[in-house]
Amino acid sequence: MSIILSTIFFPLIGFFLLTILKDFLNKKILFFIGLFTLFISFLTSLFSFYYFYKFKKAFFVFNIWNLISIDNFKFNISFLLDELSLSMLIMITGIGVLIYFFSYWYMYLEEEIIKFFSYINLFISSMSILVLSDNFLLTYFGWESVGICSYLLVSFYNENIKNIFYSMKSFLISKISDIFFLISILLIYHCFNTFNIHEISNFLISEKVHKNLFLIKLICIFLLLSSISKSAQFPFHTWLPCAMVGPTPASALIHSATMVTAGVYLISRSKDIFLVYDQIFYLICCVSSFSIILGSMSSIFNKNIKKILAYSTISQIGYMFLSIGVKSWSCAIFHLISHAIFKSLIFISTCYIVLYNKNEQNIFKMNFIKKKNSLVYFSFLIGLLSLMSFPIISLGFYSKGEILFKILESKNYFFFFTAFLGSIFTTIYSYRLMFYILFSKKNYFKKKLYENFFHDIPTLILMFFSTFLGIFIIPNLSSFFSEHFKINNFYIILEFLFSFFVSFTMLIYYLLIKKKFFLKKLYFLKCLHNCLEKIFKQDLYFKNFYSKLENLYNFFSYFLYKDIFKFFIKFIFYIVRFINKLILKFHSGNLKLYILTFFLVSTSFYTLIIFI
Amino acid sequence: MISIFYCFILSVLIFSLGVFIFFIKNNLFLMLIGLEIMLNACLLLFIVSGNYWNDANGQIIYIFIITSSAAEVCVSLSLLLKFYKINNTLNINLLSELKK
Repeated sequence: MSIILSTIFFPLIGFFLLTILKDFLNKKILFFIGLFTLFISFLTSLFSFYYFYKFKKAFFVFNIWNLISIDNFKFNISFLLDELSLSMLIMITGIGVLIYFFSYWYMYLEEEIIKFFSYINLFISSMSILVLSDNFLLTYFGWESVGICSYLLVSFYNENIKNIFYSMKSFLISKISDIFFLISILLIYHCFNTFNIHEISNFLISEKVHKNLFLIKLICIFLLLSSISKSAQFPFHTWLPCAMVGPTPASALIHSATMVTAGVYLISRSKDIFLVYDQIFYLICCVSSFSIILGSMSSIFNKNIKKILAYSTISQIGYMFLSIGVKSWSCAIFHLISHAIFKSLIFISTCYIVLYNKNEQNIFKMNFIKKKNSLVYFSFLIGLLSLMSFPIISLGFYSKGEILFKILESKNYFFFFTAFLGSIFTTIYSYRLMFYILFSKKNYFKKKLYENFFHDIPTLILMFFSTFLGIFIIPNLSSFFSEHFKINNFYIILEFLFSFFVSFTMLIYYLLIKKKFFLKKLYFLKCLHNCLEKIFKQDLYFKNFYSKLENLYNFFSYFLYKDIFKFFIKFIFYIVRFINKLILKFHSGNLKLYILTFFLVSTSFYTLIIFI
Repeated sequence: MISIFYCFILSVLIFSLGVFIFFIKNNLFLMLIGLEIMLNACLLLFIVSGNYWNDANGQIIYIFIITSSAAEVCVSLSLLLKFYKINNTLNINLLSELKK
C-alpha cells in the first residue's frame, strides 16, 4: 500500500519533467504530461479512499523512509491515512486537476504557461505532503513549500514591479506563520520528545500534563498564530487581497483548495493539544468572528471583483475557525470542502467574465450577456448562490447551516449573532455581484471568446457538485472527531429562519440599492454608507502596522545576512592595507626622504645601543 | 680653562647644523658642505678630548682624517662637476632616478 506515495511523487515528477523538458517539447505535450501526473495522483487518492473503507481501521501509517535516527531523536518520513487526511487529499487533488485542466483554456496564449503548470504541480505535491504527513516536522516541510509555491504563482506576471512587491508582501506575512510554526514544533519536541502526532495524543491522554501546562499553552498559542496567518485571519489577513495579482486560476487554487485551508487543517490535526488548553477556543472564536465581520464588510464596499472574492474567502475561512472554536471540527471540514468546491467554481467563472470584459475588474463597469454564455451565467449564479447559502438547492446552505446550529448549540449567543450578521453580509455582497454583473444592462466592453472542451468540463463538474448533490460526495467526519449530531426540531426551525433571512435580504437589497427606494430620502443612511465605504474599502488600518513589521523583519534579516566573520576578515584586510599605504610612502622615489629615513633609523639605533 | 662640557655642546651644535644643512638644501654642493661641517664637528671633538687626556693621539687621528677627507672632497667635487656638465643642474630631486 505504498501506492499513496504516488499521490505525492507523481506531481513532483511532473514538476521536474516540465521544468527540464520546457525547451524541448511543445506546449501541448507538456500540458498532457502534467495533466497525466496530476490525474494519476487523483486516481491513487481515490483508490486509497476505497482501500481505507475496505479495511475498516482507524488509521494507517506508512513508514517510507527513516531519515534520521540518533539515540532518542527519530525523524521518519511516514504518511498517515485517516479520514481527515484522505478527505483533504481527495479535495486537493480533485480540485487541482480541474483547475489545471481549466487553466489551459485560460492561459493558452501566455508565453510561460509551462512554468505556471509546473508551479501548480509542485503546489499540489507539497500540499499533499502537508496533509499526509504523520509528524509535525514533515508537515512543516510542506507548510514552507506551500508558501514558496504561492509566492511563485502570485508573482507570475513579473513584468510589473508592483506585482512583485505584492507577492513579496504576501510571502512575508505568511512567512510569519512559518516562524511561529517552527517555534511551536521546537516546543513540542521539548515537551513530548517526539514529533509524531499520534504519540503526542497518546502522551496527552495517558500522562499528566500539569507539569508542562505552561509550555503546552505556549504551543497552542503559537500554533494558532501560525494557522491564522496562513489562513488569512484577522491580524494577518492583508496578504490575501494582495495575492490576487496573480493569474486567476492560481488564486482559485490558493483560495479554494490549498494554502488558506492549511491553517484549518493544522488545528484540526493537532486538536488533542488544543483540547488541553480550553480557553484558546474562546480566542479562536473572537478572532474568527472579527474576521467574518471585517471580511464581509470589506467585500461589500469593494469595487474590484477579485478583491471582493478575496475578502469573501477571509470571511468564509472565518466560519471554519468559528466552527473549530465551538469544537465542532467535522462541520469545519465540511464547510472547508464545500467552500473549496463553490469558490473554485466562482473563480473559474470570474476568469471568463473578466476576460469577456477585456480585463476590466471594476464591477460597476462590467456586464454580461446571458444569451451567448449561458453556461458561465449559470455557473456563476450557482456559485454565488452557494456562497450566500441559498436555501435547499445550494451546497453552502447545508454546511453553513450546520455551523450556525453548532454555534447556537454551544450557547455562545454573541458569536452566533456575529456569524448570523456575517451570513447576511455575505448575502448582500453576493447579491451585489449578481446584480451588477449578471443582471446589468450596460454595454461597455465585449470580447469574443470561444469556449471549448477545456473550459466546459471543469465548470460542469464543479457546477454539478456545488448544488445540493455535493453533500453526497463529502464524507461525514463526525465519527472521526467523535461528535454527535442530532437533527431535531430546533435545527429545522433554525434552517427556516436562516433561509428566510437570506431571501429577505435579497428583497431589501434590491429595494434599497437597486431601486434606490429609501436611499434617496434617507440622508442618514447615505452618510453611513459613505463612511463605511471609506473605512472598509482598503486595508488602510493595518498598512502602517504592517510596514513597521516589514521594516523590523528587514532589519533582522539584514542583521542575520551580515556575516560576523566577514567583519574580522575585513578588519585584518584594512590593517594590512593601511600598513601597505604607509610603506608605499617611503617608496616614493624621493631621495631626500630616503636619506632622512636612513639617518633617523641609524641615529635611533645608535642611541639605543648607547642607552641600553 | 674652558670646561670640556662646553666643547661637547659646541661640537654637537655644529654637527646638528651640518645635519640641518644636509636635509634642507636641495643642491648637492651645499649638501657636501653640510657633510664637511659634520665631519669637522666630529674632528673638533677628537682634539678636545685629546687635550683633556693629555694625549697626542687625538691630534694624530685628526691629521689622518683631515687628509682623507681632503681626498674625499676632491673626488666628490670632481663628480659634482661631471654631474653639472651632464645634467646642467645640481638639484638632488631632479637628479634622482628612483622616481621613474
